[in-house]
Amino acid sequence: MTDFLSLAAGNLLSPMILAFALGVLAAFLKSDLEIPEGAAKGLAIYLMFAIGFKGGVAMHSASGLALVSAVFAALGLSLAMPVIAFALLRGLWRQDRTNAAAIAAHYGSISIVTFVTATEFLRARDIPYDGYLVAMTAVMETPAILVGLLLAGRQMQQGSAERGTLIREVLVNGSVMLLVGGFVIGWITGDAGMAKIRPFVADLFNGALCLFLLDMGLVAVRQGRAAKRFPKALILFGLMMPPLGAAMGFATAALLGLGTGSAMLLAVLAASASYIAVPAAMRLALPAASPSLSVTLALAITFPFNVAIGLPVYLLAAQYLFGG
Amino acid sequence: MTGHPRKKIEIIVEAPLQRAVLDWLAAQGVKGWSLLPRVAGGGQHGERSGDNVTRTFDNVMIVAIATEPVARAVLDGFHQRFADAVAIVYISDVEVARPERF
Repeated sequence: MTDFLSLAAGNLLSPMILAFALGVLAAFLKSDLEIPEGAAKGLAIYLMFAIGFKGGVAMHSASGLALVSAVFAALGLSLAMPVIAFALLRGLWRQDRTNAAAIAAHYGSISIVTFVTATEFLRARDIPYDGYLVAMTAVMETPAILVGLLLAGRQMQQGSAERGTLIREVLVNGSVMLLVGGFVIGWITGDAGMAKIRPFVADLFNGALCLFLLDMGLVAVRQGRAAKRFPKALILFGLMMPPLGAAMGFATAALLGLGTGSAMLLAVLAASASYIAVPAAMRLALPAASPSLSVTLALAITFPFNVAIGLPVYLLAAQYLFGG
Repeated sequence: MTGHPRKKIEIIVEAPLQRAVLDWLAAQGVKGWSLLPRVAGGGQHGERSGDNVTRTFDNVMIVAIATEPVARAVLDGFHQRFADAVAIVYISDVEVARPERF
């Protein structure tokens, strides 16, 4: 228990989470504080490239074999998660098929910011993790979109233009390109590459993450406030999916034989939900679904839960299950 | 100089559908367009002020000029093609100097 309290306090009192809290507070007080979308996007691009690069550098000296099984496991996890979420939403929350499918797609995908925050949480505690976790992140970003559409029982909409856009969204989505691109560049260049750009990709990383989390705090509260007709019962779903996802992540980690840090990160990936790639794809392919349900869940409930409470819980669970 | 009568089509639509709408307009015979990448507003769907990193709740505005038959086809067909979209479509009269371009 004292372990947990000191971990939880250490997390809550990190500059990153305090910056998130500042964003939450500013939005609650209806401050005019705003991170312009362009700047937020710039920060997101930076974070994704840097995390991809760092993962790739770690792979430089590791065997590529583990990467293959990890990538397939990640794919399996992102295909299974939406099915579970869908069954729960239909069975327990009595959501209609379309909304259940759309929400399920968000939960099958991942939140890169949650992942990045988790890597910093580990780094602050000197707990190592495998570089290929970044590749797993990229793999889990988009396949859930397709599962969501299948669950909705819907042919993709008439136009082939839409199908083209969707396929692009799934395969060459900007986040996936950045993560995979950064990863490959890091893998090729290794420590020598890192030596060239360390001040940018490593030293500045936490500061940029602070600002991005500040924006996330603002956005999460404003989203929560904007969703006036959000059914209260769904809040429970948003709080229940992270531990359930984490459990699935740990099971997968056990199958892969991952170490403590990597297992914790895989749990974080499975526990998190997308609020950037999937909402846009769902508006296009499943416009009858309400984004104020799915995005509010992913952004205003699951995301804050994961970064504030989830991280220490998942780490403790990983230490209990995987040692360390 | 006398202007040539044409119709101006204005479409305010949620950002995720931008590409699909532009492709559809081209298929209807619209030859060119301009885009305001972010427009704030309010109405039935609450306030849509944009400026958040998800872009899901942003609106864009598409402006195009076309002949009357094309503009009518757009006005008549839009809500059928993009049912459930957050969108407003309207047309109005304008005059242009170079009619062959529209």
